[in-house]
Amino acid sequence: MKKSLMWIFTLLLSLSLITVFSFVGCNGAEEEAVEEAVEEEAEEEVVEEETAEEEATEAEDEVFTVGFVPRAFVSVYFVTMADAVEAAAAEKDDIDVQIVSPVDQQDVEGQIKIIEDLTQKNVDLLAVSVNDPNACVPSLLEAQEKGIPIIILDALTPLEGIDVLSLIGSDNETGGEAIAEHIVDILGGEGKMAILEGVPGQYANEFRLKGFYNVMDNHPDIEIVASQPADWDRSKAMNIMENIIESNPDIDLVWGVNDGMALGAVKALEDAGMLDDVVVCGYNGDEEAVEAVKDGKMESTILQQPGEIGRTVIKIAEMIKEGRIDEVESVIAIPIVLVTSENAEDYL
Amino acid sequence: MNKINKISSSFLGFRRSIILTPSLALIFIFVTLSCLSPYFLTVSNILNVLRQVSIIAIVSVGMTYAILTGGIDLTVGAVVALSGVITVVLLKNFSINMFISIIVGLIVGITCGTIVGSLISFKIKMPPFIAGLAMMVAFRGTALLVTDGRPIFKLPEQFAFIGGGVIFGIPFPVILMLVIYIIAFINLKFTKLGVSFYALGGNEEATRLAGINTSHIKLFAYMISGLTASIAGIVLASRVMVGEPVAGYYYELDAIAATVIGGTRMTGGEGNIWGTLIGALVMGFLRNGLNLLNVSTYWQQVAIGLVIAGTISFSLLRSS
Repeated sequence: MKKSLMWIFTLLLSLSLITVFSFVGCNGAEEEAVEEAVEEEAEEEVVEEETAEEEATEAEDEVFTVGFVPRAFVSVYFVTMADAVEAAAAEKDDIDVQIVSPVDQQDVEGQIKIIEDLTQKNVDLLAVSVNDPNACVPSLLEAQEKGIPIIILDALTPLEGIDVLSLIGSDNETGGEAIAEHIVDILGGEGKMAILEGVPGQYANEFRLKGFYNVMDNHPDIEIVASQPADWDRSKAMNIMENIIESNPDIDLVWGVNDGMALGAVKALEDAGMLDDVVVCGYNGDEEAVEAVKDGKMESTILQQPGEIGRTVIKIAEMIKEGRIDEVESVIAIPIVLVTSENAEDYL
Repeated sequence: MNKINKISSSFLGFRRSIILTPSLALIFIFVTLSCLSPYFLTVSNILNVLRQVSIIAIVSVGMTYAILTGGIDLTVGAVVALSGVITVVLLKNFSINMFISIIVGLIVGITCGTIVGSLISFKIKMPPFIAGLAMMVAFRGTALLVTDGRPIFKLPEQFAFIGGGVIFGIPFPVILMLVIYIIAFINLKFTKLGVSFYALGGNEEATRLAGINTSHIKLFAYMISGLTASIAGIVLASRVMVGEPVAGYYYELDAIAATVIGGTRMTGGEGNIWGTLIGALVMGFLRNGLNLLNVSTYWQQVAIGLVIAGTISFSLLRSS
């Protein structure tokens, strides 16, 4: 009995490996490899994706490698960005992208390790969406010393102590201000609203809220009856929304600090038959949310244009490759888009 | 059979008092919150909380089995996600019959449990914590692979019943949760297999010498854990009507908390499945109360941590 179970286990494992590798055959542009660290101190794991862009030996020296480090793949935002980077690189023959991400969105140390690994591999360009900018500076300095140009994504404030080639993206703080202004508009300056927050203390969360309050503090007639952490999780947001409805049935609007949570709130309101009475706003511009805006279930969301950011990374890679590194702008602000029913179609 | 009876009878006296502390904690929370918020003690709120708690409570059943054997199952969160997305992918992308999709989802859960259990029970004898750590990432990665990192939405309406349906005013997930707990209770208390879990956790060597195949029992515990996680995953997917590869994050922590608050010892061999349910309710009502009272975010974290630590300390002090 023992032996046959071992065989079943081996079979399952081989089947899964075969499935994984068959994707390489069918889907030439994508290859996934999952690493399992089964050491004693296995604390952080890395999900590594490589595009199968690498030509054979001779072309390898000519291939320009971009090391792209998102915060995590927990958010569709980064999936969109990564897909855009890959797609843009696929169009160029000799640009290769290595996308490595920590498993956990809050994993600052994981990011540091990945930056160090990519530095070791001598990538030609390092593009990082930092979890905690200050924590990453030492590892980025090492990359800098090796002469690897660095791009920081999703932040517009220069990092102290390091000379980055470019800052691309938009600010979470500016985005927070934008949605707040829109909310003031919708509510006409007064009303009751709730906020579904992300993971407390997390960089993106704190800065979006900061931006939000920058604007909201000037509008005391808008009462924030509840501001609760749903940890970026859709089902937690749904639970919390149900609870908020209990104690505040006369609420006018709810803002989910990311789209997943906003959509959880939509479901809770739908189940309670209250979706027509409560406005739902989100943040991130995920495809699902934009569709919801189009269908009228959500009122608006903020799109930080991850696709655009991804494409810009490859544009810069090209510029460096062609020797035009001096032409790269030090700050490339990608405009934030407020997606409402008016323009939702354009962003699907 | 006699040997098993002897090993387990010493636990019988203990069991009755294990759930006293968590029950007191639950009553305390209930009374306090009823006084502090007028919205707490309403039928709709209580039903809400029961429904909200049901998913974690179902996962906690499997976790209790794993902990009873002296181990732990860290993969449950990932299995919740994986089984949910596979069910949804089959249902939406391949238009497969709903019942078949669900059964496949359950099989996925059992398979995950089998893989983890095999690593722990057989030749390799990997420590459960390490096996769980490694496989949780693999399972999560698989969920991301299957969905290409994106949620799968716009599901057929019929799927909504599992997570959102109501029978005679009681939410379906709550009924499902109760049925699972009753089955687990009967299994653990009245069947030879069930008692073996306790025996194994209490003294593995003695149990093995008594002629019980401890490897199989251990494997079985993790298979059950995988199964309950997959049930929870499908209920969750139905509740939010989306298949998300990022669902279930940190569910293992909540499941462990519920199990331990409920009186089950981390070292195994002692525990009470109803205690686990009470543990899940304690955390559910606590969170609900904090939401209703709009307690600030940072204070909430502290409050939840203190309640968990406090309840566990209290029961540990009582038993020593």
